[in-house]
Amino acid sequence: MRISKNKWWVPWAFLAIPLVLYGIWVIYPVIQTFSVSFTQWDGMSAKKTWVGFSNYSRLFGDSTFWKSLKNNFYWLIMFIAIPIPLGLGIAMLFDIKLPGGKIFKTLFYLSMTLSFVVIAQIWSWIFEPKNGALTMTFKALGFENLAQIQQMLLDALLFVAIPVVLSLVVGYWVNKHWDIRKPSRRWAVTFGCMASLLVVAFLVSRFWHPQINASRFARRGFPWLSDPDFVTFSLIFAAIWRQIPYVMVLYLAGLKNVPPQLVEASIVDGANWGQRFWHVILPMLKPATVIAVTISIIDSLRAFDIVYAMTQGGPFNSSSVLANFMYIESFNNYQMGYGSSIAVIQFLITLGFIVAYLNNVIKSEG
Amino acid sequence: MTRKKTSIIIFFYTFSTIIVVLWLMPFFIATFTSVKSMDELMASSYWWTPPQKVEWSNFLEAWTTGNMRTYFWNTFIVTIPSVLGTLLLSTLSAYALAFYQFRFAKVILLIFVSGMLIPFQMLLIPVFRLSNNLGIYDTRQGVILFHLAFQLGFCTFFLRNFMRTLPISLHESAKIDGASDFKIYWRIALPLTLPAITALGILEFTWIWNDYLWSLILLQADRLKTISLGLVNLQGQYHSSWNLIAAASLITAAVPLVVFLLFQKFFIEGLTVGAVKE
Repeated sequence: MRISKNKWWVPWAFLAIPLVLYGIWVIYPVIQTFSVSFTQWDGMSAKKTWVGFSNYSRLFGDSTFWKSLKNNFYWLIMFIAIPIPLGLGIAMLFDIKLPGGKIFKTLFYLSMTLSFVVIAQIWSWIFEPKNGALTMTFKALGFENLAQIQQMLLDALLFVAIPVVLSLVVGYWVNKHWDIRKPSRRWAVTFGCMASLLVVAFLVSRFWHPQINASRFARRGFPWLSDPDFVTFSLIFAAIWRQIPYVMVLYLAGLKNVPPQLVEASIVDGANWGQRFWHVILPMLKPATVIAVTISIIDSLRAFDIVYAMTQGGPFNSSSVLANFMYIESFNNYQMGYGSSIAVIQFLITLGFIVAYLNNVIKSEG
Repeated sequence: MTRKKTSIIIFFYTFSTIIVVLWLMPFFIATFTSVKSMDELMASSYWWTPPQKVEWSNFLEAWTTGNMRTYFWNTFIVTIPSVLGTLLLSTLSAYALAFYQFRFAKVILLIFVSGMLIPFQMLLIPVFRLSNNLGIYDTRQGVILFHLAFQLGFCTFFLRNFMRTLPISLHESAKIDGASDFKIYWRIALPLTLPAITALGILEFTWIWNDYLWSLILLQADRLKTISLGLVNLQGQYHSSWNLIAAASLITAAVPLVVFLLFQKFFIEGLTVGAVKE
C-alpha cells in the first residue's frame, strides 16, 4: 500500500518497539562480539585490553579449535547425508494416504518435540557402557565389544553395500546398452550382476580383509561416549533422531505442492515408479530440498545443547564442537575475548548458508 | 481416487510400523527405566523386560527431592510472558512490513530473518554483559526479556508472510471509511491473523520451554532455574540413578508432548509455513 507523504512515520511507529528491542538484544550484540574478539577480557573487570588479531592467531594454533572444526564438519556432513534422504523416503511413505496413516505420523513426530537436553539424558542411558540399552542389545546379539560392531559395519560396507550398489549401476547400464525391454529379463540381468559381484566380493575378502584394531584400550567393551574416535558419531546419532522427523515435515509440505495431475499424466505416459520419482516428483521438491539442506546445515553448525549436556566436549575435547568450545572458553575459563573470536569464526562459517537462506527469502518475494 | 494395490497397502503398513517402532524405542526405554528400581536396573536386567514392580515413587522423588517441581513452575513463569510478549510485539512489526511500502522495508525484514539464523554464540557474551549492566542478571525478567526480543526475528518473519496472504483490499476499504492505521491493525488485521498467531504461539511455547542455553547464561540461583537446567542439575547430583533421571526427563518432556498432541495441526503448520513457502 502506498502511504501519503505526511504519514511516512506510520510504519515506523508500528516498528518502533520491536525494532528497538531487537536492536538492543540481537543486532548490537553481534557487533559487540566482533569488537570483543579483538580484546583480552575476563568478563567481569572493567579492564579490557586491545590485542588486535592475537586471539585469532592463538585460535589457529589451538588444537581444540581444529578438533572442534573437524567435528562440526562431521556434524554437517552427517546432517545432510542421513536426514535428507531418510526424511524424503519416509515422507514419500507417509504420503501414501491409507487409514491409520495419521497415527503413524503423529507417533513419528514425537521425538521432534523433545528438547536436546531431554534427548541427551535419554540417550546417555541408551549409550551407558555397561547396562545401557544399546550395549545390552548388542550383547544379546552376540557382540563382545565395540570393535566387533565396527568390524561388522566395515565388512558390510566393503563386501555387501559397495557390490550391491555397483551391481545396480552395472545392471542399469547393461539393460540400457543392450536395450533389454522385458521386465523379467531386466530383473534377471540386475540380480545376475548382484550375485556375481557378491561372489567376487566374497573371494576378495579371502585375500584382503582390513581389520579394526580391537586391542586399543578404549575399544574394549562398549565405550559409545568414551571412545575419542566414536563419541561424536554417537552424539550425532542422537541428534539425528530428532532431525529426521523435522526434515520429513518439510518434505511432506513440499509433496503437497506436487500437483497430482502431473503424477497421473506421467503414469498415463508409461513412466515407471523410478522415472516418476526422478523426473517428476524430485524436481518439484527442489524448493523443499533447498530449505531442508540449508536448515540442516545451520542446525548442525549451531549444535550445542546435546554436546554440552552429554559429554561437555570430552573425553579430551574429542567431541568438542565450536559452539561448545566457545562456551567453555568464555564462561568456564573466563576468556571472553578468546571466546568471541571463536564465535566470530563460527559466524563466518555459517554466513554463507545464512546468505543462501536470505537469498531464498528474497527470491520468493518475486 | 484410484484404489490402491494390495502390494502398496502391505508395503505401507509394514514399513510404517517398523519405522514408528524404531523411532519410539528411546521413549519406550525411558518409560521402562523410569519405573524400575535401581536394583533391578543394576542386576543387568535387559531393557526390554517389563519392570517386576512398577515404582511410581521415582516420579515423586524427582518431583520433590529432585526439585523438579520448582523448575517446572519456573519454566511456566518464564515461558508464558515470553510467548505472549513476542507474539504481541511481532504482530506490530509484521503488520508494518506486510501492509506498508516504505524505504528500508526489505532491509528490516532481512535483519529480522538473519537474526534468527545466526549462531547463538555471537550473542552470548554481550547479552550476558548487558543483563549484568541492567541489573537483570539472574532474574526471570532478564530471561523473559531476552526470549521476547530474540524470538521477534522468527515471529515477525512468520506473521508477515501470513499477513501478506490477506487481501489488501480489506485494508484499503477500511482506510477509505476513515479508520485510523492502528484501528485497522487492531480490528481487521489482527483477527484475521489469529490462526497464524495460534500456530506460532504453540511453536514458540515449545521452543522457549525447551530452551537450555539462555537459562544457562542468564540464571544462576537454583530457585529460578528452568526445567532444562534443572534436569542437567539433577543428572549431576544423581548421576547414576538412571531411573530418577529418566523420570525427570519424562516430566520435562511431558509439557511439549501434551501441547504437541493437542495442537498437532497448528504445530506442523507452524513449522512448514515458517520454512517452506510456495
